[in-house]
Amino acid sequence: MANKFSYVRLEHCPKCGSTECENIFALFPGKPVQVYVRCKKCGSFVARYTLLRYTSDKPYESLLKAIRCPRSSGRQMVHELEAFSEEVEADFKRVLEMLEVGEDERKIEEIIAERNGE
Amino acid sequence: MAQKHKTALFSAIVVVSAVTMFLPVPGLSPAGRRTLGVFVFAALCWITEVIPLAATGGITVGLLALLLPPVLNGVNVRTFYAAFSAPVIVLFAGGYFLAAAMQKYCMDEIFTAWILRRTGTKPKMVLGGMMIATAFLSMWMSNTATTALMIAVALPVVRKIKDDPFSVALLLGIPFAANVGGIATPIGTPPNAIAIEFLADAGKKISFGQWFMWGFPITLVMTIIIWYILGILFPPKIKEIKLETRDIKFTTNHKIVAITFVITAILWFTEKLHGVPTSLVAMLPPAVFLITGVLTREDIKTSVGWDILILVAGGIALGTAMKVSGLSEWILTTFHLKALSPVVVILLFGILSLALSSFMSHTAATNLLIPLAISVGTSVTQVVVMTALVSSCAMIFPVSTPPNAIAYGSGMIKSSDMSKAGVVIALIGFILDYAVVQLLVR
Ligand SMILES: [Zn+2]
Repeated sequence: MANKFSYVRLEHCPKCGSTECENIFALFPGKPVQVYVRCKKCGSFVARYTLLRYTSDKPYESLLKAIRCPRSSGRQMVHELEAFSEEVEADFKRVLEMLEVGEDERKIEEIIAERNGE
Repeated sequence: MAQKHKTALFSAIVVVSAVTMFLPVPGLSPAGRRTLGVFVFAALCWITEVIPLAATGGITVGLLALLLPPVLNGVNVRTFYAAFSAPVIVLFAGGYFLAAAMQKYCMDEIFTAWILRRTGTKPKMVLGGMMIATAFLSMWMSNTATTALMIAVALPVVRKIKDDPFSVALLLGIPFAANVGGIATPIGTPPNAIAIEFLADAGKKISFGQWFMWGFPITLVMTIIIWYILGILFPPKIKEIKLETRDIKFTTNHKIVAITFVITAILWFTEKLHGVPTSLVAMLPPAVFLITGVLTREDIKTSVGWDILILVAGGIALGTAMKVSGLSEWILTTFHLKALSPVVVILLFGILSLALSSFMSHTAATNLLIPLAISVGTSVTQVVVMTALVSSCAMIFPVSTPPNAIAYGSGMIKSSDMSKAGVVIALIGFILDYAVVQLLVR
Protein backbone atom coordinates (compact mmCIF):
# COMPACT_ATOMS: atom_id res chain seq x y z
CA MET A 1 0.00 0.00 0.00
CA ALA A 2 1.45 3.34 -1.02
CA ASN A 3 2.01 5.71 1.87
CA LYS A 4 0.13 8.63 0.33
CA PHE A 5 -3.04 6.57 0.48
CA SER A 6 -2.76 5.82 4.20
CA TYR A 7 -5.09 7.93 6.30
CA VAL A 8 -6.38 7.89 9.84
CA ARG A 9 -9.29 9.89 11.14
CA LEU A 10 -11.37 9.78 14.29
CA GLU A 11 -15.11 9.49 13.82
CA HIS A 12 -16.71 12.93 14.42
CA CYS A 13 -20.36 13.61 15.22
CA PRO A 14 -21.91 15.50 12.28
CA LYS A 15 -24.10 17.54 14.67
CA CYS A 16 -21.84 18.53 17.55
CA GLY A 17 -18.42 17.51 16.28
CA SER A 18 -17.69 15.32 19.31
CA THR A 19 -15.33 12.38 18.89
CA GLU A 20 -16.90 10.46 21.75
CA CYS A 21 -18.89 7.70 20.11
CA GLU A 22 -20.59 4.44 21.00
CA ASN A 23 -20.48 1.41 18.74
CA ILE A 24 -23.69 -0.58 18.67
CA PHE A 25 -23.29 -4.06 17.24
CA ALA A 26 -26.42 -5.28 15.42
CA LEU A 27 -27.24 -8.60 13.79
CA PHE A 28 -30.55 -9.23 12.02
CA PRO A 29 -31.48 -12.47 10.27
CA GLY A 30 -30.48 -12.52 6.61
CA LYS A 31 -28.45 -9.30 6.91
CA PRO A 32 -24.72 -8.81 7.26
CA VAL A 33 -23.36 -7.78 10.65
CA GLN A 34 -23.60 -4.01 11.10
CA VAL A 35 -22.23 -1.56 13.61
CA TYR A 36 -24.18 1.64 14.30
CA VAL A 37 -22.21 4.53 15.68
CA ARG A 38 -23.99 6.96 18.02
CA CYS A 39 -22.69 10.23 19.40
CA LYS A 40 -22.22 9.87 23.14
CA LYS A 41 -22.73 13.61 23.73
CA CYS A 42 -25.89 14.40 21.74
CA GLY A 43 -27.16 10.96 20.77
CA SER A 44 -27.12 11.64 17.00
CA PHE A 45 -26.63 8.97 14.38
CA VAL A 46 -23.03 9.24 13.25
CA ALA A 47 -22.40 6.35 10.87
CA ARG A 48 -23.09 2.72 10.07
CA TYR A 49 -20.36 0.20 9.27
CA THR A 50 -20.97 -3.10 7.51
CA LEU A 51 -18.65 -5.73 8.88
CA LEU A 52 -16.39 -7.85 6.71
CA ARG A 53 -14.52 -9.60 9.52
CA TYR A 54 -14.37 -9.13 13.26
CA THR A 55 -11.10 -9.33 15.15
CA SER A 56 -11.19 -9.07 18.92
CA ASP A 57 -8.38 -8.35 21.33
CA LYS A 58 -7.79 -12.09 21.12
CA PRO A 59 -6.76 -12.45 17.47
CA TYR A 60 -6.13 -16.19 17.89
CA GLU A 61 -9.83 -16.76 18.64
CA SER A 62 -10.77 -14.62 15.67
CA LEU A 63 -8.59 -16.68 13.37
CA LEU A 64 -9.96 -19.97 14.72
CA LYS A 65 -13.44 -18.81 13.70
CA ALA A 66 -12.16 -17.87 10.26
CA ILE A 67 -10.53 -21.25 9.52
CA ARG A 68 -13.14 -22.93 7.37
CA CYS A 69 -11.09 -24.20 4.50
CA PRO A 70 -9.00 -27.36 4.87
CA ARG A 71 -5.21 -26.89 4.85
CA SER A 72 -2.48 -29.25 3.82
CA SER A 73 0.65 -27.59 5.14
CA GLY A 74 1.50 -27.37 8.83
CA ARG A 75 4.35 -25.00 8.06
CA GLN A 76 2.06 -22.62 6.18
CA MET A 77 -0.43 -22.78 9.04
CA VAL A 78 2.24 -21.84 11.60
CA HIS A 79 3.23 -18.81 9.49
CA GLU A 80 -0.39 -17.80 9.01
CA LEU A 81 -1.06 -17.84 12.75
CA GLU A 82 2.10 -15.93 13.63
CA ALA A 83 1.53 -13.38 10.88
CA PHE A 84 -2.08 -12.79 11.91
CA SER A 85 -1.44 -11.90 15.57
CA GLU A 86 1.58 -9.80 14.70
CA GLU A 87 -0.26 -8.02 11.92
CA VAL A 88 -3.13 -6.94 14.15
CA GLU A 89 -0.79 -5.66 16.85
CA ALA A 90 1.56 -3.92 14.43
CA ASP A 91 -1.23 -2.24 12.49
CA PHE A 92 -2.89 -0.98 15.66
CA LYS A 93 0.41 0.52 16.82
CA ARG A 94 0.89 2.17 13.45
CA VAL A 95 -2.60 3.68 13.49
CA LEU A 96 -1.99 5.19 16.93
CA GLU A 97 1.32 6.61 15.79
CA MET A 98 -0.32 8.21 12.75
CA LEU A 99 -3.03 9.65 14.98
CA GLU A 100 -0.33 11.26 17.16
CA VAL A 101 1.03 13.02 14.08
CA GLY A 102 -2.43 14.28 13.15
CA GLU A 103 -5.66 13.02 11.67
CA ASP A 104 -6.91 13.70 8.17
CA GLU A 105 -9.13 16.79 8.06
CA ARG A 106 -11.60 15.56 5.44
CA LYS A 107 -14.84 13.72 6.08
CA ILE A 108 -14.54 9.93 6.20
CA GLU A 109 -16.76 9.47 3.11
CA GLU A 110 -14.43 11.75 1.14
CA ILE A 111 -11.42 9.69 2.14
CA ILE A 112 -13.21 6.45 1.20
CA ALA A 113 -14.33 7.95 -2.13
CA GLU A 114 -10.74 8.87 -2.97
CA ARG A 115 -9.61 5.36 -2.02
CA ASN A 116 -12.24 3.80 -4.29
CA GLY A 117 -11.15 5.97 -7.21
CA GLU A 118 -7.51 5.01 -6.67
CA MET B 1 12.18 -17.40 4.36
CA ALA B 2 12.85 -14.03 2.70
CA GLN B 3 11.63 -13.55 -0.86
CA LYS B 4 15.23 -13.24 -2.07
CA HIS B 5 16.15 -16.62 -0.57
CA LYS B 6 13.00 -18.19 -1.95
CA THR B 7 13.80 -17.02 -5.47
CA ALA B 8 17.34 -18.36 -5.18
CA LEU B 9 16.15 -21.70 -3.83
CA PHE B 10 13.48 -22.06 -6.48
CA SER B 11 16.01 -21.25 -9.23
CA ALA B 12 18.37 -23.85 -7.80
CA ILE B 13 15.58 -26.47 -7.79
CA VAL B 14 14.75 -25.69 -11.42
CA VAL B 15 18.40 -26.08 -12.42
CA VAL B 16 18.87 -29.35 -10.50
CA SER B 17 15.67 -30.80 -12.02
CA ALA B 18 16.66 -29.74 -15.53
CA VAL B 19 20.12 -31.22 -15.12
CA THR B 20 18.55 -34.49 -13.87
CA MET B 21 16.58 -34.73 -17.11
CA PHE B 22 19.76 -34.65 -19.16
CA LEU B 23 21.76 -37.09 -17.04
CA PRO B 24 22.68 -40.15 -19.13
CA VAL B 25 21.13 -42.61 -16.67
CA PRO B 26 21.87 -46.13 -17.96
CA GLY B 27 18.78 -48.22 -18.76
CA LEU B 28 16.38 -45.28 -18.51
CA SER B 29 14.47 -44.12 -21.61
CA PRO B 30 14.26 -40.41 -22.57
CA ALA B 31 10.70 -40.36 -21.23
CA GLY B 32 11.87 -41.95 -17.99
CA ARG B 33 14.63 -39.34 -17.62
CA ARG B 34 12.18 -36.49 -18.14
CA THR B 35 9.83 -38.02 -15.58
CA LEU B 36 12.71 -38.39 -13.13
CA GLY B 37 13.48 -34.68 -13.60
CA VAL B 38 9.87 -33.71 -12.88
CA PHE B 39 9.85 -36.05 -9.87
CA VAL B 40 12.96 -34.35 -8.48
CA PHE B 41 11.35 -30.94 -9.06
CA ALA B 42 8.13 -31.94 -7.28
CA ALA B 43 9.99 -33.62 -4.42
CA LEU B 44 12.25 -30.63 -3.74
CA CYS B 45 9.40 -28.11 -4.02
CA TRP B 46 7.12 -30.12 -1.76
CA ILE B 47 9.84 -30.73 0.84
CA THR B 48 11.05 -27.12 0.96
CA GLU B 49 7.63 -25.50 0.33
CA VAL B 50 9.46 -22.82 -1.62
CA ILE B 51 6.23 -22.32 -3.56
CA PRO B 52 2.74 -23.26 -2.30
CA LEU B 53 2.08 -27.03 -2.33
CA ALA B 54 -0.78 -26.68 -4.80
CA ALA B 55 1.38 -24.62 -7.17
CA THR B 56 3.85 -27.50 -7.28
CA GLY B 57 0.94 -29.90 -7.93
CA GLY B 58 -0.33 -27.83 -10.84
CA ILE B 59 3.11 -27.26 -12.34
CA THR B 60 3.84 -31.00 -12.09
CA VAL B 61 0.77 -31.83 -14.18
CA GLY B 62 1.72 -29.11 -16.66
CA LEU B 63 5.35 -30.20 -16.99
CA LEU B 64 4.40 -33.82 -17.57
CA ALA B 65 1.81 -32.85 -20.19
CA LEU B 66 4.42 -30.69 -21.88
CA LEU B 67 7.47 -32.97 -21.72
CA LEU B 68 6.21 -36.53 -22.14
CA PRO B 69 3.93 -36.62 -25.23
CA PRO B 70 6.76 -35.71 -27.64
CA VAL B 71 8.90 -38.68 -26.53
CA LEU B 72 6.25 -41.27 -25.70
CA ASN B 73 3.82 -43.02 -28.03
CA GLY B 74 0.15 -43.19 -27.07
CA VAL B 75 0.46 -40.43 -24.48
CA ASN B 76 -1.04 -36.97 -24.85
CA VAL B 77 -2.03 -34.07 -22.61
CA ARG B 78 -5.27 -35.82 -21.68
CA THR B 79 -3.27 -38.62 -20.06
CA PHE B 80 -2.15 -36.13 -17.41
CA TYR B 81 -5.17 -33.82 -17.26
CA ALA B 82 -7.10 -36.96 -16.32
CA ALA B 83 -5.57 -36.59 -12.85
CA PHE B 84 -7.97 -33.69 -12.19
CA SER B 85 -10.96 -35.92 -12.78
CA ALA B 86 -9.66 -38.98 -10.94
CA PRO B 87 -12.36 -40.61 -8.77
CA VAL B 88 -10.62 -39.48 -5.56
CA ILE B 89 -10.73 -35.86 -6.67
CA VAL B 90 -14.48 -36.14 -7.26
CA LEU B 91 -14.87 -37.97 -3.94
CA PHE B 92 -12.96 -35.28 -2.05
CA ALA B 93 -14.78 -32.41 -3.75
CA GLY B 94 -18.10 -33.97 -2.74
CA GLY B 95 -16.78 -34.50 0.78
CA TYR B 96 -15.88 -30.80 1.01
CA PHE B 97 -19.48 -29.85 0.20
CA LEU B 98 -20.70 -32.17 2.93
CA ALA B 99 -18.24 -30.66 5.42
CA ALA B 100 -19.09 -27.12 4.32
CA ALA B 101 -22.77 -27.67 5.08
CA MET B 102 -22.00 -29.33 8.41
CA GLN B 103 -19.88 -26.31 9.37
CA LYS B 104 -22.28 -23.67 8.09
CA TYR B 105 -25.18 -25.08 10.09
CA CYS B 106 -22.95 -25.84 13.09
CA MET B 107 -23.82 -29.54 12.96
CA ASP B 108 -20.29 -30.10 14.27
CA GLU B 109 -21.04 -27.97 17.31
CA ILE B 110 -24.41 -29.60 17.87
CA PHE B 111 -22.71 -33.00 17.84
CA THR B 112 -19.98 -31.83 20.21
CA ALA B 113 -22.55 -30.43 22.63
CA TRP B 114 -24.42 -33.74 22.50
CA ILE B 115 -21.23 -35.65 23.42
CA LEU B 116 -20.21 -33.20 26.15
CA ARG B 117 -23.60 -33.44 27.84
CA ARG B 118 -22.79 -37.11 28.37
CA THR B 119 -19.27 -36.82 29.73
CA GLY B 120 -19.95 -35.03 33.00
CA THR B 121 -17.44 -32.59 34.48
CA LYS B 122 -14.51 -34.80 35.53
CA PRO B 123 -11.49 -33.36 33.67
CA LYS B 124 -10.37 -36.66 32.13
CA MET B 125 -13.90 -37.50 31.04
CA VAL B 126 -14.26 -34.08 29.40
CA LEU B 127 -10.95 -34.62 27.59
CA GLY B 128 -12.19 -38.01 26.44
CA GLY B 129 -15.45 -36.50 25.21
CA MET B 130 -13.63 -33.74 23.33
CA MET B 131 -11.31 -36.27 21.71
CA ILE B 132 -14.12 -38.62 20.68
CA ALA B 133 -16.05 -35.72 19.14
CA THR B 134 -12.91 -34.48 17.37
CA ALA B 135 -11.96 -37.91 16.04
CA PHE B 136 -15.47 -38.60 14.79
CA LEU B 137 -15.85 -35.23 13.09
CA SER B 138 -12.47 -35.45 11.39
CA MET B 139 -13.50 -38.78 9.87
CA TRP B 140 -15.83 -36.69 7.66
CA MET B 141 -14.49 -33.15 7.79
CA SER B 142 -10.99 -31.82 7.29
CA ASN B 143 -8.66 -32.28 10.26
CA THR B 144 -7.93 -28.54 10.15
CA ALA B 145 -11.50 -27.28 10.36
CA THR B 146 -12.34 -29.80 13.08
CA THR B 147 -9.38 -28.71 15.18
CA ALA B 148 -10.21 -25.01 14.78
CA LEU B 149 -13.76 -25.61 15.98
CA MET B 150 -12.84 -27.82 18.93
CA ILE B 151 -10.06 -25.56 20.17
CA ALA B 152 -12.47 -22.63 20.03
CA VAL B 153 -14.81 -24.66 22.25
CA ALA B 154 -12.04 -25.63 24.68
CA LEU B 155 -10.24 -22.29 24.83
CA PRO B 156 -12.32 -20.46 27.46
CA VAL B 157 -11.68 -23.32 29.93
CA VAL B 158 -8.05 -23.70 28.88
CA ARG B 159 -7.45 -19.99 29.61
CA LYS B 160 -9.08 -20.34 33.02
CA ILE B 161 -6.92 -23.31 34.06
CA LYS B 162 -3.76 -22.28 32.22
CA ASP B 163 -1.51 -22.99 35.22
CA ASP B 164 -2.87 -26.52 35.49
CA PRO B 165 -0.82 -29.04 33.47
CA PHE B 166 -4.12 -30.43 32.24
CA SER B 167 -4.62 -27.38 30.02
CA VAL B 168 -1.83 -28.83 27.86
CA ALA B 169 -3.64 -32.16 27.69
CA LEU B 170 -6.77 -30.41 26.41
CA LEU B 171 -4.83 -28.43 23.81
CA LEU B 172 -2.90 -31.48 22.58
CA GLY B 173 -5.75 -33.98 22.72
CA ILE B 174 -7.72 -32.08 20.09
CA PRO B 175 -5.15 -31.91 17.25
CA PHE B 176 -3.94 -35.44 17.99
CA ALA B 177 -7.48 -36.83 17.87
CA ALA B 178 -8.09 -34.91 14.64
CA ASN B 179 -4.95 -36.40 13.09
CA VAL B 180 -5.89 -40.00 13.95
CA GLY B 181 -9.57 -39.40 13.21
CA GLY B 182 -8.64 -38.79 9.60
CA ILE B 183 -7.37 -42.36 9.30
CA ALA B 184 -10.81 -44.00 9.61
CA THR B 185 -12.45 -43.18 6.26
CA PRO B 186 -11.29 -42.66 2.66
CA ILE B 187 -12.41 -39.02 2.88
CA GLY B 188 -10.89 -38.47 6.33
CA THR B 189 -7.59 -37.19 4.98
CA PRO B 190 -6.03 -37.01 1.48
CA PRO B 191 -3.34 -39.73 1.94
CA ASN B 192 -6.08 -42.39 2.33
CA ALA B 193 -7.68 -41.32 -0.93
CA ILE B 194 -4.32 -41.19 -2.70
CA ALA B 195 -3.60 -44.76 -1.57
CA ILE B 196 -7.01 -45.96 -2.76
CA GLU B 197 -6.60 -44.22 -6.13
CA PHE B 198 -3.20 -45.75 -6.82
CA LEU B 199 -4.30 -49.22 -5.76
CA ALA B 200 -7.40 -48.99 -7.96
CA ASP B 201 -5.17 -48.01 -10.86
CA ALA B 202 -3.03 -51.08 -10.15
CA GLY B 203 -6.16 -53.27 -10.28
CA LYS B 204 -6.80 -53.53 -6.52
CA LYS B 205 -10.18 -52.03 -5.67
CA ILE B 206 -10.75 -50.99 -2.08
CA SER B 207 -14.28 -50.06 -1.05
CA PHE B 208 -15.23 -47.40 1.49
CA GLY B 209 -16.28 -50.11 3.93
CA GLN B 210 -13.09 -52.06 3.39
CA TRP B 211 -10.92 -49.03 4.22
CA PHE B 212 -13.08 -48.33 7.27
CA MET B 213 -12.46 -51.87 8.55
CA TRP B 214 -8.71 -51.13 8.52
CA GLY B 215 -8.76 -47.47 9.51
CA PHE B 216 -11.45 -47.29 12.15
CA PRO B 217 -9.84 -49.75 14.60
CA ILE B 218 -6.66 -47.64 14.41
CA THR B 219 -8.58 -44.41 15.02
CA LEU B 220 -10.39 -45.97 17.97
CA VAL B 221 -7.37 -47.56 19.65
CA MET B 222 -5.14 -44.53 19.01
CA THR B 223 -7.72 -42.12 20.44
CA ILE B 224 -7.86 -44.20 23.64
CA ILE B 225 -4.07 -44.49 23.85
CA ILE B 226 -3.54 -40.76 23.26
CA TRP B 227 -6.17 -39.96 25.90
CA TYR B 228 -4.40 -42.26 28.35
CA ILE B 229 -0.91 -40.88 27.60
CA LEU B 230 -2.01 -37.25 27.90
CA GLY B 231 -3.69 -38.04 31.23
CA ILE B 232 -0.40 -39.42 32.55
CA LEU B 233 1.88 -36.73 31.11
CA PHE B 234 -0.34 -33.80 32.08
CA PRO B 235 -2.48 -34.93 35.06
CA PRO B 236 -5.26 -32.57 36.19
CA LYS B 237 -5.01 -30.71 39.52
CA ILE B 238 -8.43 -29.24 39.05
CA LYS B 239 -11.38 -31.44 40.10
CA GLU B 240 -14.06 -30.22 37.72
CA ILE B 241 -14.31 -28.45 34.39
CA LYS B 242 -17.28 -27.35 32.37
CA LEU B 243 -17.16 -26.55 28.68
CA GLU B 244 -19.86 -24.22 27.45
CA THR B 245 -21.56 -24.97 24.15
CA ARG B 246 -24.17 -22.90 22.39
CA ASP B 247 -27.76 -23.98 22.02
CA ILE B 248 -28.45 -24.10 18.31
CA LYS B 249 -31.98 -24.22 16.92
CA PHE B 250 -32.66 -27.06 14.52
CA THR B 251 -34.16 -25.65 11.29
CA THR B 252 -35.30 -27.22 8.02
CA ASN B 253 -31.82 -26.67 6.56
CA HIS B 254 -30.33 -28.53 9.51
CA LYS B 255 -32.61 -31.45 8.71
CA ILE B 256 -31.58 -31.39 5.04
CA VAL B 257 -27.91 -31.49 6.03
CA ALA B 258 -28.41 -34.28 8.57
CA ILE B 259 -30.48 -36.46 6.22
CA THR B 260 -28.08 -35.92 3.31
CA PHE B 261 -25.15 -36.85 5.54
CA VAL B 262 -26.80 -40.05 6.73
CA ILE B 263 -27.90 -41.13 3.23
CA THR B 264 -24.47 -40.36 1.74
CA ALA B 265 -22.69 -42.30 4.49
CA ILE B 266 -25.05 -45.28 4.12
CA LEU B 267 -24.52 -45.31 0.34
CA TRP B 268 -20.77 -45.16 0.87
CA PHE B 269 -20.80 -48.14 3.19
CA THR B 270 -23.14 -50.24 1.04
CA GLU B 271 -21.39 -49.94 -2.32
CA LYS B 272 -21.25 -53.73 -2.61
CA LEU B 273 -25.07 -53.90 -2.49
CA HIS B 274 -25.95 -51.21 -5.04
CA GLY B 275 -22.75 -50.92 -7.07
CA VAL B 276 -22.74 -47.11 -7.28
CA PRO B 277 -19.09 -46.03 -6.93
CA THR B 278 -18.05 -44.00 -3.87
CA SER B 279 -17.06 -41.04 -6.01
CA LEU B 280 -20.45 -40.94 -7.70
CA VAL B 281 -22.23 -41.04 -4.34
CA ALA B 282 -20.09 -38.04 -3.35
CA MET B 283 -21.94 -35.97 -5.96
CA LEU B 284 -25.13 -36.27 -3.91
CA PRO B 285 -24.30 -33.62 -1.28
CA PRO B 286 -23.34 -30.89 -3.82
CA ALA B 287 -26.52 -31.62 -5.80
CA VAL B 288 -28.82 -31.53 -2.77
CA PHE B 289 -27.20 -28.50 -1.14
CA LEU B 290 -27.10 -26.41 -4.29
CA ILE B 291 -30.67 -27.23 -5.33
CA THR B 292 -32.07 -26.46 -1.88
CA GLY B 293 -29.94 -23.37 -1.37
CA VAL B 294 -28.39 -24.87 1.77
CA LEU B 295 -25.02 -23.81 0.36
CA THR B 296 -24.38 -20.67 -1.67
CA ARG B 297 -21.62 -19.55 -4.02
CA GLU B 298 -19.92 -17.80 -1.13
CA ASP B 299 -19.84 -20.98 0.98
CA ILE B 300 -18.31 -22.95 -1.86
CA LYS B 301 -15.64 -20.33 -2.33
CA THR B 302 -14.56 -20.39 1.30
CA SER B 303 -15.05 -24.00 2.33
CA VAL B 304 -13.84 -26.18 -0.52
CA GLY B 305 -10.14 -27.06 -0.49
CA TRP B 306 -9.47 -26.42 -4.18
CA ASP B 307 -5.76 -26.15 -3.53
CA ILE B 308 -5.69 -29.59 -1.92
CA LEU B 309 -7.47 -31.08 -4.95
CA ILE B 310 -4.77 -29.61 -7.22
CA LEU B 311 -2.04 -30.88 -4.89
CA VAL B 312 -3.48 -34.41 -4.96
CA ALA B 313 -3.91 -34.27 -8.75
CA GLY B 314 -0.20 -33.46 -9.03
CA GLY B 315 0.65 -36.68 -7.22
CA ILE B 316 -1.72 -38.74 -9.36
CA ALA B 317 -0.25 -37.35 -12.59
CA LEU B 318 3.23 -38.08 -11.28
CA GLY B 319 2.23 -41.69 -10.62
CA THR B 320 0.76 -42.05 -14.11
CA ALA B 321 3.93 -40.65 -15.64
CA MET B 322 6.16 -42.97 -13.65
CA LYS B 323 4.20 -45.94 -14.90
CA VAL B 324 3.91 -45.03 -18.59
CA SER B 325 7.46 -43.70 -18.90
CA GLY B 326 9.02 -46.84 -17.47
CA LEU B 327 10.55 -45.00 -14.50
CA SER B 328 8.73 -47.29 -12.04
CA GLU B 329 10.03 -50.40 -13.77
CA TRP B 330 13.53 -48.92 -13.83
CA ILE B 331 13.48 -48.17 -10.07
CA LEU B 332 12.27 -51.70 -9.39
CA THR B 333 15.02 -53.43 -11.36
CA THR B 334 17.83 -51.00 -10.56
CA PHE B 335 17.40 -51.13 -6.80
CA HIS B 336 16.52 -54.84 -6.70
CA LEU B 337 13.42 -54.07 -4.64
CA LYS B 338 11.82 -57.35 -5.70
CA ALA B 339 14.59 -59.24 -3.91
CA LEU B 340 13.71 -57.62 -0.56
CA SER B 341 11.36 -59.39 1.82
CA PRO B 342 7.88 -57.83 2.03
CA VAL B 343 8.34 -57.11 5.74
CA VAL B 344 11.46 -55.05 5.04
CA VAL B 345 9.72 -53.08 2.29
CA ILE B 346 6.64 -52.38 4.43
CA LEU B 347 8.78 -51.18 7.32
CA LEU B 348 11.02 -49.15 5.01
CA PHE B 349 8.10 -47.24 3.51
CA GLY B 350 6.54 -46.83 6.95
CA ILE B 351 9.74 -45.25 8.26
CA LEU B 352 10.09 -42.99 5.21
CA SER B 353 6.47 -41.92 5.54
CA LEU B 354 6.84 -41.14 9.25
CA ALA B 355 10.09 -39.24 8.72
CA LEU B 356 8.83 -37.14 5.79
CA SER B 357 5.37 -36.46 7.24
CA SER B 358 6.90 -35.22 10.48
CA PHE B 359 8.24 -32.11 8.84
CA MET B 360 6.32 -31.77 5.59
CA SER B 361 2.70 -32.00 4.49
CA HIS B 362 1.56 -35.63 4.78
CA THR B 363 -0.41 -35.23 1.56
CA ALA B 364 2.70 -34.14 -0.32
CA ALA B 365 4.74 -36.90 1.35
CA THR B 366 2.31 -39.60 0.22
CA ASN B 367 2.18 -37.98 -3.23
CA LEU B 368 5.89 -38.80 -3.49
CA LEU B 369 6.03 -42.12 -1.65
CA ILE B 370 2.96 -43.95 -2.96
CA PRO B 371 3.97 -43.84 -6.65
CA LEU B 372 7.27 -45.37 -5.48
CA ALA B 373 5.51 -47.89 -3.24
CA ILE B 374 3.30 -48.97 -6.13
CA SER B 375 6.44 -49.74 -8.15
CA VAL B 376 7.78 -52.17 -5.57
CA GLY B 377 5.91 -55.13 -6.98
CA THR B 378 5.66 -57.25 -3.84
CA SER B 379 2.83 -56.93 -1.31
CA VAL B 380 1.88 -53.67 -3.03
CA THR B 381 -1.40 -53.22 -1.15
CA GLN B 382 0.25 -53.63 2.23
CA VAL B 383 3.11 -51.27 1.39
CA VAL B 384 0.79 -48.57 0.03
CA VAL B 385 -1.68 -48.80 2.92
CA MET B 386 1.15 -48.72 5.47
CA THR B 387 2.56 -45.57 3.83
CA ALA B 388 -0.82 -43.81 4.00
CA LEU B 389 -1.67 -44.91 7.55
CA VAL B 390 1.69 -43.96 9.04
CA SER B 391 1.60 -40.50 7.41
CA SER B 392 -1.33 -39.62 9.69
CA CYS B 393 0.56 -40.71 12.82
CA ALA B 394 3.34 -38.16 12.38
CA MET B 395 2.51 -35.40 14.86
CA ILE B 396 5.77 -34.62 16.62
CA PHE B 397 6.28 -30.94 15.72
CA PRO B 398 3.99 -27.93 15.31
CA VAL B 399 4.72 -28.01 11.57
CA SER B 400 3.92 -31.75 11.27
CA THR B 401 0.21 -31.15 10.63
CA PRO B 402 -2.10 -28.11 10.36
CA PRO B 403 -3.98 -29.26 13.51
CA ASN B 404 -0.70 -29.29 15.47
CA ALA B 405 0.06 -25.81 14.13
CA ILE B 406 -3.32 -24.50 15.28
CA ALA B 407 -2.86 -25.84 18.82
CA TYR B 408 0.67 -24.47 18.98
CA GLY B 409 -0.58 -21.10 17.71
CA SER B 410 -2.50 -20.64 20.98
CA GLY B 411 0.83 -19.79 22.58
CA MET B 412 -0.14 -21.88 25.58
CA ILE B 413 1.79 -25.05 24.86
CA LYS B 414 5.49 -25.59 24.45
CA SER B 415 6.76 -27.31 21.35
CA SER B 416 8.67 -29.68 23.68
CA ASP B 417 5.37 -30.78 25.28
CA MET B 418 4.02 -31.56 21.85
CA SER B 419 7.13 -33.54 20.90
CA LYS B 420 7.21 -35.42 24.21
CA ALA B 421 3.71 -36.80 23.61
CA GLY B 422 4.06 -36.85 19.81
CA VAL B 423 7.07 -39.17 19.73
CA VAL B 424 5.40 -41.77 21.93
CA ILE B 425 2.19 -41.55 19.88
CA ALA B 426 4.04 -41.81 16.57
CA LEU B 427 5.86 -44.95 17.73
CA ILE B 428 2.73 -46.63 19.04
CA GLY B 429 0.86 -45.57 15.90
CA PHE B 430 3.58 -47.07 13.73
CA ILE B 431 3.40 -50.43 15.52
CA LEU B 432 -0.39 -50.47 15.41
CA ASP B 433 -0.43 -49.58 11.70
CA TYR B 434 2.02 -52.38 11.02
CA ALA B 435 -0.11 -54.84 12.97
CA VAL B 436 -3.24 -53.87 11.02
CA VAL B 437 -1.39 -54.08 7.71
CA GLN B 438 -0.03 -57.53 8.57
CA LEU B 439 -3.23 -58.95 10.04
CA LEU B 440 -6.02 -57.36 7.99
CA VAL B 441 -4.66 -56.01 4.71
CA ARG B 442 -4.32 -58.53 1.88
ZN1 LIG C 1 -23.09 14.78 18.75
